[in-house]
This record gives sequence, C-alpha cells and structure tokens, in this order.
Amino acid sequence: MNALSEQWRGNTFLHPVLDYLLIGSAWSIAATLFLFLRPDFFGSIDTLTLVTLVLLINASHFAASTVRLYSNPAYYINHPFVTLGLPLAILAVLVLCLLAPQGLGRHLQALYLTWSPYHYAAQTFGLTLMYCHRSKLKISSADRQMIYWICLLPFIRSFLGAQNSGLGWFVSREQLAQIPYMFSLLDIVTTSLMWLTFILPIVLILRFRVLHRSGFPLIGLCMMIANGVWWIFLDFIDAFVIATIAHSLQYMAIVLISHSSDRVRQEGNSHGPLYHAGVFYLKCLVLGYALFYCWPYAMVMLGAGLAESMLLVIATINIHHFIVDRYIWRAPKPAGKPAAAASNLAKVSA
Amino acid sequence: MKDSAQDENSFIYQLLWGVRLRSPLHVAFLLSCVLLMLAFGAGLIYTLAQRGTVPDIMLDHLSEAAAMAQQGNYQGATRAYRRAAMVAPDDLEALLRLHTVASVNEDRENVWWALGRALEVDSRDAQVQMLAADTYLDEMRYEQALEHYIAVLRLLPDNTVASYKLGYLNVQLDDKAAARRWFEYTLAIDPGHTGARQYMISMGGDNSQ
Repeated sequence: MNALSEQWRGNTFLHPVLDYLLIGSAWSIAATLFLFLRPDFFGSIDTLTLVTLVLLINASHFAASTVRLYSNPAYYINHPFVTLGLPLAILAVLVLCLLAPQGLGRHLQALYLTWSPYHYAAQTFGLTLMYCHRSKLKISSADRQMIYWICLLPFIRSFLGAQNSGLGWFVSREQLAQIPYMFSLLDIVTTSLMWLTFILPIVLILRFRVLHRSGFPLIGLCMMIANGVWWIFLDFIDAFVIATIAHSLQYMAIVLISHSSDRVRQEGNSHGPLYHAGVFYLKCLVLGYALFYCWPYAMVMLGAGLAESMLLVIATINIHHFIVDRYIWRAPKPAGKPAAAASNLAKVSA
Repeated sequence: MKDSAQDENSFIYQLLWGVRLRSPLHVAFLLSCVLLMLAFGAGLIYTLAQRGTVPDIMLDHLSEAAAMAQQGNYQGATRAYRRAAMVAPDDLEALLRLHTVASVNEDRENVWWALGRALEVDSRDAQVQMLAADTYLDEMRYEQALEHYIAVLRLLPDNTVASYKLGYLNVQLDDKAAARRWFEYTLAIDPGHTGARQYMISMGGDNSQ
C-alpha cells in the first residue's frame, strides 16, 4: 500500500510540493481558475512586472537549451552539425526572412507558431515518462503510445483551430469555407478534443489502476491538465503569457536539476548542486538578455523594421530552441570524463 | 583538485579558440559566434542610445502589440498599444495604431480615447484630421466629419479622398449644391475619379464629358 501511494505521488526530484508546483505547473492551473473568476486581474499586472518575468524565466529558458548544449563535449561529439553548423544556418534563415518578411518571414512565423504547441506537448510527454520511470512504473508500448497521444491532444486542437499557423498556414479560412460543413466539422472536432484533453488523462489513470494494479504519478496528470489549460483556457481569456511563463519555469526547473546533478556526479567536482545551478542560470540569463533584448535591435540598426525584427528574431530563437531541445535530452552522457571528451575535440576537428 | 567547471570551460575554450580550422563546420561555428557577438554588442549600444529618447518599455509594448495584431489578436494588441500610449502619451504613431486596431476590434472607448489624444498632440497633422473625419463619418456624425475633412484639405489641398468624402457628406446632408462643388473640385484634381463622376451623373451635372 505504501509503495502504491508512492507511485501515485511519484518519485519527486526536490520535494513533492516543489515538484508539483514548478514541474507539475499546479500553480498555473490555480492561476487560470483565478483569472476565470477575476478576468480583469491580468490587465492590472503592470508591464514592467511582465517584462521582468519574461526576462527572468522565458528568455533564460530559451537560452538554457543552448547553454546546456555547449556545456558538455558529448553533444559536440554526437551532434556536430547541431552544435557547430546550426547557428550559422539559423542566422542565414533570419537574414533571408528579414529581407523578405512578407514572402518568407510569415512562413517562419507560422512554423514557430505551429511548432510551439507541439513542443509544449512533447515536454509534457517527456516529463510524464520521466516521472513514470523514476517511480519504477512499468510502461508497456501501448501505455507509452496512449500517454503520447493524450499529451498531443492540445497540440492537435491548436493545430486545427489556429488561423495563421497550423491548418490555417496551409489552408485559408476562405478556402475552408468553400467546403460544405467544414467549419461545423472542425468545430465539433476541436470541441471534442477539448473535452478529451481533460477526460483521457483520468481514463489513463484508471487504466493503470485496473489493468496494471498500480498507481500513476499524479504529477503526470497535473502536467497534462496544465498543458490543456494553457492551450485552451489561457488562450481563450487572452492571457497566454502565463502559459509561456509556466512552461519556461517547468523547463528551467528540470534543466537546472539535470545540469547540477550531472555536474555534482562528475569526477573532481568540488561544489554543491546550488552552485552549479546558480552558475548555469546566470549564463542563461545573460544569453537570454542578449538574444531577446539586444539581437532584435541589431537588426533594426541594419535597416529592418522594429516589429519585423522582434517577431522574426523571436521566431528564430524559438525554432533553434525546439531543434536543440530534441538533442540535449537524448545525447548519451559523457561517461563522467568530459575532459577526455574535450581533448577528443581537437582530434575530431583535425 | 580539478573542478568540473574547468572542464566545461576548457571545452568551450577549445571550441572557440583551440579548433583547427580544417572543418567547414568549425569555420561556420566561429563565423556565427563573431556575427552574434557583433549583433549583441550593436543591439546593446542601440538600446542604450534609445533609452534617452524613446522609453524602452514603450518599444516593448509596441512590438508586443504588433505581434498580437499580426496574429489577429486585436483585443490584445489594443491593450498593448494603450499601454504604449500611456507610457509615451505624446507618441502619435502609438496613438494612430491604437486607433486602427481598436477600430478593427470595434472598441469604441479606445477609438475615441486615441483620437482625442492624437488631436491634442497634433491637430495640424493631416493623418490625424483624416482619421478624425473618418471616425465621425463611421458614427454618422456628419457635421463634425465635415469640419475635419475641410481641415484635411487646408493641410493637403490636393487630397481627393477628403474632397470626395465632403461631396458624399453633403449628399447625406441633402446639400446638393455643396456636394456638386466638392465633386467638381475632386474631378478638377483627378478627372478620372469614378466615384465623383458617378455622383455628378446621378445628380445630372456631369459636364466634363
């Protein structure tokens, strides 16, 4: 019974309360409920507070994937193009899009907006699986598939409902209007997906209880509900910025835990996890400031419009983050000897 | 005792300085590092230079608003432009943009607030006068619209949009003689103006053929 209750709670990293609040994003569910009751509250948050939060959490979260990529020689050894070639490729794409904002830029924007909900869903899936493994839960291939598709539901709904991205990127509303009953059909599908987003995670938990006679870490349910709430309710009440903050906080928490535990385990380490987490976060903060608060103005200096540079630089940073994020969690660990891997660098480069 | 941070730093050091430039990927990486460093430096200088003239926070509001407008979120864009206009109440561009997105969003309160503020800031700006005239016209407050279109023509005498709309307004006000004068005025500047011509024909006075 004790083991079962531990499975329900999940084997947390820091403390159950902290894990559920930060990684499970329970706070964002509570914040959304509060905003539904007090819709005017969001408008009363002054911009300086929002801009500061965006810098401290969002901007540094985007930088975190890059800082992590260049913190470990293993990524260079395993993914040389991502570490060395991708930055220039991304820069070239940005310049081309700024030269033709209407022709190319809007596609970059649409790509970023389409990819975002997928990235959020993939993060929910990855973290849910991580907690399942940590809680020693046996996950069959069918379970994994089910978790994956449940996590993906908000993305599918967002893809179908978006006007300037997702389906709207490929087929305009006018074209859709020419197909009889298409709008009604889309409406039925998106409404069904909305309900399924909140019903299926509960079905998943019941499935584990009935079929496997085991618990399912409720933090996974919390993350699935939070992701649904972000893409459905926060978008609806025009407070999506809270979702971006919650997602970034979730990401920062897990990346800081992973990075500091990697560092602490390394041979010859003489610092505690807080030191490593602090140094890593400071690097992310500086890079985040440079990326979001300096880079767009450099493009303005070169002659691009402020709105175009802001939009396209943000889209570019997002896309780079999405790509890099696919590698930094998959790369094999450097077997505890980064110095040796680093010395291989010269050999490989030669 | 060797610290893991040193390993990390030595790796980055090697990546940046110790690499032999034999691999095209390394050349690409170093080039992108140089370009990004230049961009970050230039952007920082630009923002510091701008700080004295345009409030930094307002630029953030403007860009946020532009992003929202581009996504079709006119309600959000209206709020962001309103915040920009609150930070820099004399910035005509922010006020005009606020007026535009608020009009699309049918947010009458912000439409009138932006218009009132823009007229206070610069009533001798033809764009502001035109916006005022169009707003009054939308509200079917023809007398006020008339005044502002005339103000546009004082500033830009060749503006056929204003003169044509003056003709149209006088038709609505049932002052056919005045309407005819404004359509003739429009046709004198732009003989190909189809709208003015059609009105002249319908009023039985197109003598230009």
